[in-house]
Amino acid sequence: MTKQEDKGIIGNKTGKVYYPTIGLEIHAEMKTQTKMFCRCKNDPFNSEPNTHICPVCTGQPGALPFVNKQAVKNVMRVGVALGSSLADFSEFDRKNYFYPDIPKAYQISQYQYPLVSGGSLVGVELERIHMEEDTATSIHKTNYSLVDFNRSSVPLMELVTMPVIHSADKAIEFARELQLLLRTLGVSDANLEKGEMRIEANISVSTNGHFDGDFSKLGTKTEVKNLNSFKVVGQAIDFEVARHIAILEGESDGELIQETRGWDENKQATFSQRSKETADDYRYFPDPDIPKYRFSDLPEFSVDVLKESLPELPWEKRERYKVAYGIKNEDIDFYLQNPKFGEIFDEAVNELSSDVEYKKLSNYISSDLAGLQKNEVGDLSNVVGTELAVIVQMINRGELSSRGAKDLLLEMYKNGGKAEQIANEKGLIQKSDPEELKRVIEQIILDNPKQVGEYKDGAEKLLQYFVGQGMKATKGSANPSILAELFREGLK
Amino acid sequence: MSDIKITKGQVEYLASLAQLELTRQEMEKFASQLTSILQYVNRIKDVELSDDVQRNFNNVNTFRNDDNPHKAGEHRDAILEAMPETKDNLLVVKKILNN
Repeated sequence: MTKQEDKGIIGNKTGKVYYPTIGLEIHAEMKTQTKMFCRCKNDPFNSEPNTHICPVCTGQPGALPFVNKQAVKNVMRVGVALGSSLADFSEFDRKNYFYPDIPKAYQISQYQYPLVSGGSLVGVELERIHMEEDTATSIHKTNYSLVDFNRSSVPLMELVTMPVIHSADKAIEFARELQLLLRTLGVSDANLEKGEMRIEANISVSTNGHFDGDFSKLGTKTEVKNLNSFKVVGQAIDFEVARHIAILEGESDGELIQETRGWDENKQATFSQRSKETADDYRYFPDPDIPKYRFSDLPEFSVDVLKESLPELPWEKRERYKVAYGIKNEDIDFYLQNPKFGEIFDEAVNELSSDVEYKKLSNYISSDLAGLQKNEVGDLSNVVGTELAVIVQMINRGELSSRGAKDLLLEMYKNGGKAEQIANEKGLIQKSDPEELKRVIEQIILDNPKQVGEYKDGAEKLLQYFVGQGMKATKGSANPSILAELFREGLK
Repeated sequence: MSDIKITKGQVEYLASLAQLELTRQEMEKFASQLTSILQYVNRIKDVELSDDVQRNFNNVNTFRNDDNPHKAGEHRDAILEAMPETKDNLLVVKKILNN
């Protein structure tokens, strides 16, 4: 196979050009206090099995679902952020299937009238986002299985993209940006390893060029499930594309049928799973237990109101950091992925006024402060942005050496406090006053007659030695360039 | 409305979706029983309705606020007791194949 970027992949045998087409289905558990249809606590990870269960989420006869407003609102907020259209009319449907993790023998989901349609993210168009309930968790033993209903009926959103992705890289970019958005909106923690965000990829290859809205042009699609990291998403897509092409080229005697496949981490390969039921088999129908929704009657669900509830979105933040402060892309990504550091930057940067200061500030946060959090015991909340700005200003005025700034930052991270006060107490203010330093220098010259002699005989390198002694005598608080200047004078 | 007819093949397929094992006799019996049930329900189509009573929109936009969670374990014992078999507070089911 020869890869030609977006121009498709050329088959070894026939020379035909194959175009991969990928659509993603992404589930995310919504962060709410209670479950989707009952008042059980939404806390599936930190509890003993079957703690947060009730007649509704265990499917007892006669129990009635009652819709969680916040969960619906969260999905609509995601829709507004993505520029999608919000439903006016919406309803919930029953998706019927039999499985031990689905106690009612149906999952409450949405079929014809999803809450959100259209929109796009990183250039990938969306088909829809709908609301449903999560299943219970099953634990497989040798001869039986065990079911825990703590997760049963946790609010779950399902986002479906159009089949407009053509590479593993783009699929990963989309999924990462969605994760960032969900976290920014505070609607989901979206950890893949915990299953709070679950990615499925629909993959096909075709010799008919890229998808242009005509589904009949696409090849046979396979759906790969249970992809629990971004890396695996990429690996599974690349594997499937290669597998499809090998079969179509006649290089492999595998079979290309529409089916669900899983990812085998050990073999680094996909494998066939149960054949999937078709939409007809699910016998979707509107759930008669849940009233319909007419959102135009509810002002709090209007686009304008929901828009006002949005924080600064990831792409808006990126643009602001770039345009207003010109900081490095890596720093921007760091602030987006680590919002607490981003908040400190935002707070500090308001006190500063030049590009040099912005960059210095960003450097201290993204390397020094981040390093402290990794390696030292302390608390990030001890570091107040405005005090960090003071540190940057002190450095720029020559009052703090970079060594002194690091010490000050460490002290602040451990115990909090005001920058200037710490600097004074710890004697970190650079001694730049020539009169004060002169006495120090005279003493050093008296104490080192041998080196003084050598220096005067032409060993100019020894100037560094004297500066070192000066730094030692001032406990690092002197400005080394001023020290050098004064030694040069004093040793004439 | 006698045109509705459930075939033995449809019963067999539904049984497979429901993961039920049925005998030949049961399939025949259920096919004829389901046919007569559906024919009966289908009579609803003969009722004359004017357009404005077709959908009841009196009961719309009902929500619950996301607050006042149940106390942890509030319903636990009663539900666990009703389960056919449990182990360490988990429901025991037949081994789930696949997935």
